[in-house]
Amino acid sequence: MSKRVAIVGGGLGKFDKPREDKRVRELVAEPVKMAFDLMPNLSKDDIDMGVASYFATHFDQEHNPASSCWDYMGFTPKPLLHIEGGGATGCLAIWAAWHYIKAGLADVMLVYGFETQSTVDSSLANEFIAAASDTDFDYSLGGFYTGYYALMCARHYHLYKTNPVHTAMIAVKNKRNALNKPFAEFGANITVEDVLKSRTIASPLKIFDCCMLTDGAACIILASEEKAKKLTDSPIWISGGGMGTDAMRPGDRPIGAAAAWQTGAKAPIINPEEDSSALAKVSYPDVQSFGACREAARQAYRLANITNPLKQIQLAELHDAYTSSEMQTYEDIGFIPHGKTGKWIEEGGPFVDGELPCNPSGGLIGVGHPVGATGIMSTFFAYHQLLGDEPKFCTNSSTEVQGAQRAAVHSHAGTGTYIVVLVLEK
Amino acid sequence: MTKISRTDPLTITKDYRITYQSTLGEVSRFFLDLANEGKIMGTRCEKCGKTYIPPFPDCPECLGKTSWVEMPKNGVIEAFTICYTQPRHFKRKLPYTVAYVRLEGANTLLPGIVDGDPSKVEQGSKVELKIRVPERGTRWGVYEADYYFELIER
Repeated sequence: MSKRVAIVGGGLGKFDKPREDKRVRELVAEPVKMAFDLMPNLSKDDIDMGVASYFATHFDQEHNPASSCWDYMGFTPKPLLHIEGGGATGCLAIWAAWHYIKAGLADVMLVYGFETQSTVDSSLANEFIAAASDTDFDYSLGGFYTGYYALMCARHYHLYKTNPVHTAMIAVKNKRNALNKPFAEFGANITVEDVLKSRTIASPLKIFDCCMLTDGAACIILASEEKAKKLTDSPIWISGGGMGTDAMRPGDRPIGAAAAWQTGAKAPIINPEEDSSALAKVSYPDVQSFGACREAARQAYRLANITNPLKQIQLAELHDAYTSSEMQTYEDIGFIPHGKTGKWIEEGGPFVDGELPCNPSGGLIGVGHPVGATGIMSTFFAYHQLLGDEPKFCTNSSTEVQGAQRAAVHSHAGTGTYIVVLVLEK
Repeated sequence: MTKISRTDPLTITKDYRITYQSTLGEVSRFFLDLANEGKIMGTRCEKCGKTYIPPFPDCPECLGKTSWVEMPKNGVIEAFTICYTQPRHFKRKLPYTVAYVRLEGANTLLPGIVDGDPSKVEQGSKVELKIRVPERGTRWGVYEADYYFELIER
């Protein structure tokens, strides 16, 4: 019988570009010190192992920052692992740490993530990021991620009658949700009109549909059940975790080669309202959907006994690198049946006062996307929502989801190649 | 060159230049036949019957060896975007259109630039693949598209 794993603490640094006041190791120490300050019962000796989360060492020309941070914070000679999986790196690191505790190999794990993307100009930073896509064909033609997501978004609009207003509503929601967060960089009180009128980067995506490069760091502390009970009165359990993958090139996904589901050749149904025949009519996931998300959610929901995600989950932190990818994710994570997300957005479903609030933190679009820190930031906010003390980290309680018992956290790498879904509960 | 660009906090500006010699391995055939023969080559797995373009030298379905096959040049646009920005080294005229095209008989989608007026491009547009033989000395292959799509007038 594997062990139960809890989140017992975490910390967050200010996301800002540039964070020139601190170098990487100092930037990482900031949220780690915050986590220790918030947990008077935790001592450095309690930490058994670390997992470092960052995407590209190109950003600071330092090729083993995992170790320099670990050493700077005085955790040597304890074991340390570095995890990298594009945009999904943050939750992938938490997912990895969860395994160690689940298997009984460690009792307390410190997961820390960071990225400093302001060390080079934005154009070069985007090249580094785009080098995480297929370099033979996709990169040579598009050359930047917004182009790939725009292709996928255009296909989604076409097949499922979603439109730019739906994606714009997501931008409005996430930027407004970030307004009360001192940690966030991109909060703004904007309207759907503002999004639609903003500069087109790659049609149909506008600048307000995109997250921004930034600098930042975050951490999460996980513990086994026995240890969690000693460290805190209010552990939040990771009751489910899952990870899925898909082809590097979205254009290769129609073959289904990467979608060899463990349950058989067909994409699993994870939402009871979903009609499998509708799913069979398109070559799922093709370029409009994220098969890796469905696979990650399938695994996580099985462990957490979730059969109706929309009813059993009260809030979600989703990887909104683009408004379009958040929209697509509503379906692939099983909140909304395939192809029906447009109406749900119109009804206000993902807003703070809606049926299932998505990104009450403000997400990547509102808070910022320092790649290795992002999934950890999302987990930090979901954790505090479940603890009921989210307003403590905000200037007001406008984004608090009251009475939430269960949350989903989702992290997504370039065009959906790696996707992690975690289920958190009280 | 390393220089101090600011003193508080002390900020160092430094260059890091990299020249890579990266092989395209077995996919070289795609680019060589494109430039030398004017052919667009995909791969087919005899066992699975799947046709891959972009080519997979090894079949991702069964891990068998695929064979090179010349692909038809006509196809259909399944998704497209009009790009208003580009990486620094692309130096293309903005805006430019990128599409995922299903060439006849292909199981996968080939990305490519669609030539001409972006406002004429639609989902489902029929296109023909054209080959632009690169001039001597230009960098062809990976970072420059040496094939493109042209809309077939209806």
